[in-house]
Amino acid sequence: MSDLPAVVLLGITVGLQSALLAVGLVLIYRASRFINFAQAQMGAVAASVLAVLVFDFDLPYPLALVVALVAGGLTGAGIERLLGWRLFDKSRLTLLVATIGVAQLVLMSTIIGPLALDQGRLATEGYPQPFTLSWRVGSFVLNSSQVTTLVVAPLIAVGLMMFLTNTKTGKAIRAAASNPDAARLSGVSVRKVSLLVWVLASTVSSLAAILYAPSQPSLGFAAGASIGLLLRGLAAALLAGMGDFRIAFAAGVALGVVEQCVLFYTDVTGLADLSVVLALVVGLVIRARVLERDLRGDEGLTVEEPAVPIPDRIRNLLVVKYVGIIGWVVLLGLVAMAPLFWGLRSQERAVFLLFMLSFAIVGLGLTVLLGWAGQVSLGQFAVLGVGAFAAAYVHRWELGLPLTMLSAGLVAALVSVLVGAVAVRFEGLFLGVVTLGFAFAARSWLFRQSWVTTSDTDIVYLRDPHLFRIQIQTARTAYAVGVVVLVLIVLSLHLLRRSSVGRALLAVRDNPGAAAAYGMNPTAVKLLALSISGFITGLGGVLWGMGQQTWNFSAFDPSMSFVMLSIVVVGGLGTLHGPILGTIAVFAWPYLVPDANTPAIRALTSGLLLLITLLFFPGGLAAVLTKAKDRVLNLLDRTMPEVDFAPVAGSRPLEVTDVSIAFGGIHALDGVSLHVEEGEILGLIGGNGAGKSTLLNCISGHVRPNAGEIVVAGQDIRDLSPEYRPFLGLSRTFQDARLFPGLTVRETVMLAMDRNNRSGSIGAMVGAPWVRWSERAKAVRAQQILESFGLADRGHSRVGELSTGMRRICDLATVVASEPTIVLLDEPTAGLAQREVEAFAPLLRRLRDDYGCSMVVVEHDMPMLMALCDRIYCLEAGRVIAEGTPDEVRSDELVIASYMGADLRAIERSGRASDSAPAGTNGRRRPRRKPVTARAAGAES
Amino acid sequence: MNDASRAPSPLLEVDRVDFSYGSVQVLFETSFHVDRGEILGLLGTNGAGKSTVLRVLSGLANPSSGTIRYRGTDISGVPAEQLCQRGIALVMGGKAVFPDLTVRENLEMGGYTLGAELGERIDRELIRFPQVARRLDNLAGSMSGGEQQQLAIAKALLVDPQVLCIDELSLGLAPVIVGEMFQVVREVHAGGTTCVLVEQSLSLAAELCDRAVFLDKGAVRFEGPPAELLERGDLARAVFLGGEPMRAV
Repeated sequence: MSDLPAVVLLGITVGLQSALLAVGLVLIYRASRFINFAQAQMGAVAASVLAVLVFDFDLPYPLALVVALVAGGLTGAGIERLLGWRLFDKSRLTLLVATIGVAQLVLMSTIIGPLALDQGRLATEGYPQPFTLSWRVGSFVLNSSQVTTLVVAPLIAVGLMMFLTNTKTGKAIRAAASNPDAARLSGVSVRKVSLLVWVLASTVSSLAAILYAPSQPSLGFAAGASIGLLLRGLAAALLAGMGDFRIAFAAGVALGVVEQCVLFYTDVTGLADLSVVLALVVGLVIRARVLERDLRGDEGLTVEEPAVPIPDRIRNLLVVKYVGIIGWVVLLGLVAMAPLFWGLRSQERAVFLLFMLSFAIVGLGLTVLLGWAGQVSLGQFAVLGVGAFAAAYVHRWELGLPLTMLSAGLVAALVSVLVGAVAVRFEGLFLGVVTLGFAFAARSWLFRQSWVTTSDTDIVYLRDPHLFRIQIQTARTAYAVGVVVLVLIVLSLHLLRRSSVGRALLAVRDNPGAAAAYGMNPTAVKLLALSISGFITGLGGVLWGMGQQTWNFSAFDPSMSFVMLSIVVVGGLGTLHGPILGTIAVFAWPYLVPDANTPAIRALTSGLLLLITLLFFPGGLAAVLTKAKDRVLNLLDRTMPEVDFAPVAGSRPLEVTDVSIAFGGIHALDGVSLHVEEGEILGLIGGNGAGKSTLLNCISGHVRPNAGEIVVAGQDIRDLSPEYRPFLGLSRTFQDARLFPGLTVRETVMLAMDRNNRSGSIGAMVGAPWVRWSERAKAVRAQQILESFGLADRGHSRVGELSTGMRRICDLATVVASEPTIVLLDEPTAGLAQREVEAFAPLLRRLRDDYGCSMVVVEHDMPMLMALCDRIYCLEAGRVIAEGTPDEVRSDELVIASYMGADLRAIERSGRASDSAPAGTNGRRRPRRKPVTARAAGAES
Repeated sequence: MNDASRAPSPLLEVDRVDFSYGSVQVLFETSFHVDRGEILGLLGTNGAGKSTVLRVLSGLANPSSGTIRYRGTDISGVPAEQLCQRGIALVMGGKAVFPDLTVRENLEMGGYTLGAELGERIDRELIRFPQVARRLDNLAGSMSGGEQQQLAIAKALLVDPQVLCIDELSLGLAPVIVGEMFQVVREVHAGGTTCVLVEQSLSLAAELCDRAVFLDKGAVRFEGPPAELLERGDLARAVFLGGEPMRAV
């Protein structure tokens, strides 16, 4: 124990730096109420400036020091202005995440650009120091910067304390932190105070960094090291309840001493770092009451973009209904095909793609935890590590991939819950701190324990796992497996979000108190979220391990957890496609471009994108996509004709006014007007070329009239394309009754029902229960319709195999299935045998009676038409020449003269009908009605 | 609101002011005025927007539309830290002190904009509030509600404001202390300071105020002598039902 004084002294010098950081953290927390995760990094700028000025510009040390400290202060001011610019009204968690982005950018600025240090020179000459001296204590030698620290750091702390308690400005800072509104009423500009606080905190941090730099082998602010520093500062600050500067300072020093003692007097790997994390947890627990007081219930990070309602009239359009599924197919298609793209075909890129896949899965886990349950985790990459190490652990027993994944997921879920249980009573900030602590302890302690690595060395393996007796040897095969895992996770999360679990997660996130009143236990729900996300992250860990094959603890830089957070924030919190988009955005450059995988580019893509997202697109890429979609839909809505799909109650089923259309100078229709009353069967007669079919085509939208108005169910539909008209209850058959030769009769009927109830492709593909239910319901209904049309035994015949007559009947059944209000029938009896024609009229009447629809029938078979129709219009050369009841039309001079050839008997002689039932003179008034009815009845029986 | 009929122009004029907290609108075209040298009572039901009016008056909150004129100049949008130097002081209800600062520091902060005269002014206020003088080195947060209220008013009076706005003067205070507070307000008023008081209790307001403005759901429902307001059964009932029952006077 003779070393004890020296160890303590060393501990003090190390602790002093944490103490300065803690003071800066408390300062900013008191003024701004959030934890500045860039606190350690802020000083890095000044440290770099000093070194560059001394090395490259040969500036004398004191001058360089002044310039460096000014630069440090300006860094703080710049960060404050940046955050205050657009984020001043955001939640504290948002601000915390923003400082993570800032930290990465500051890190980047010290790696590349004018502040980048010549690491070689740093290694040979050492970091600049004002003077050289050494102080021997026992067997230890303290270098000059350590001695300086011992003197300067307490001076800074005391000076700061005196400034805050004794000067007017210092009091204003404390007053603004204590009661901002009252401070403003006293004449204190809270904005200026905030700026000042940041400048102070950043300057303190700069001094700490400059004092600490000479003791570091390289400039000690690389991502990983700075998190260790940050956590030491945080532990001290938390032990002081984020409040008392003096306690924070003392705790920082004490922590340094404890850490050094642990380092010197024990030989458990990573125990010193673990002690830091334990101090952090102890601080949280003993200061819980004070810290909880600061919680304001606004710890969310999720951005709720107001949903733009889809205009009613386009809601049922195919493309609108399917836009989500189309998006997913495109996205997952791209992901699945990625290894085939140019430049990505090598195994090396496949490994990177596999990493990206695992990160996207980690992002999906964060979607559950942060997006849905509102619990921030800054240690997800360590949870991935747990999954990877667990997979390597069980891989020794050759369990096969599914079991390996299951056990890795379970272990990760368990660890995730255990870590979260410490902080689950806190929201937002402090859970973030604990999980970051876990990430740190995992790297430096957990992943180095021999009971984790199961070997003397710290290296673990996950090579060539089996999947159903197939060895997965190449990264590309592993990638294929990974894509399947990803798709399965997306699908199950999609279901989860729509289940009671999903509702509970969001309810607890938004209002734990109210959720408890509905019988949910908020803590249990949060732990459930932790376990689900832990499981998913563990699966990501297995994929990561399959890409890595061999690794040790050093792969788990805690700052990678920040990057995982960037992924979901950049992609869009709370969505399922967000993490995938975010992974592509953050990692496409560093991972998929050759030689781009440098710390600087990674920090740039994750940090800068994170900041840009928070500042300008708080909903992330997902929200950008949603906005684009809304814009397209609105454009669609605007370019679509002004038609409301809802039928207007009490209006006529069909009204045609002055419709004209010309084909190459010939007036096919010339000012045609007609109307159909509800439940009416209207006949349309006329010679060839009279315009009957053209009129039907105009009504059904297959031909666009040059002029005139077509009103269906009270809606003017002139500009509506044919696919929308069925939504108004308009249905039609075609002369050829071709239908769909490849579909069966039943399928054809069901096709007509799909308009009102379409199932999603993905749901259909996986046989989702709701799809099965709706399909079953449709099948039952189709069977009823087929039975009522006498087609029950032909249900499974292909339409192409049917006779023309059967096809016509199938056509009618299809029309019925679409539940129309008005039906257009174009020569329904053409090509039918006489017996079939005779059966048709009663069938149509029954259709009208049973389903209450109106009809427009174009026919050449006069007897049938005369018997069927309530009213008849006669067209000639595109004009209506007669209109009335069958009797009236039949006796109309014009009809007789111009169309029927002057002889009434022509009307009554309808080809095939005439030979079986010759016209008689006694039938002058209603000559054929009775016989037709009789024949039809006979045909039916 | 005929300006011409009221010459000279009022000291403070709130003209069709709208204000919203996020999507919740609190003030709806609120208009009233404060005459030079009067004690105006700002009354109304819970959530009527009384405190919000004071926040807008003092510059802590910016109206979304409408104007506030002080001595004839438009001050809407001028931040609180500048308005306090122009003589508008606000004592916020229940949270007007700096709990983490000592009483002395609180007073020093109250006189943040003052120069050398600060010490003298503090002494003056300590004579007015002897209870505060006894606690100078304690943290303000450790004092009782009545003491905090006294400290808050002392803090506001340091700068000799033209207009003293007090939110919930009597809230949570023992009747004896309320009496003391009223005495302080009368003294200050006698010294020429215009006072705007937000009160829950109609009878207390009637005792102290020259004029009353009654707010309901963010709009002015009554403006005139307090006695007249007391006779208006409908408005009085609104206060009864919304707040605590009136104490017998």
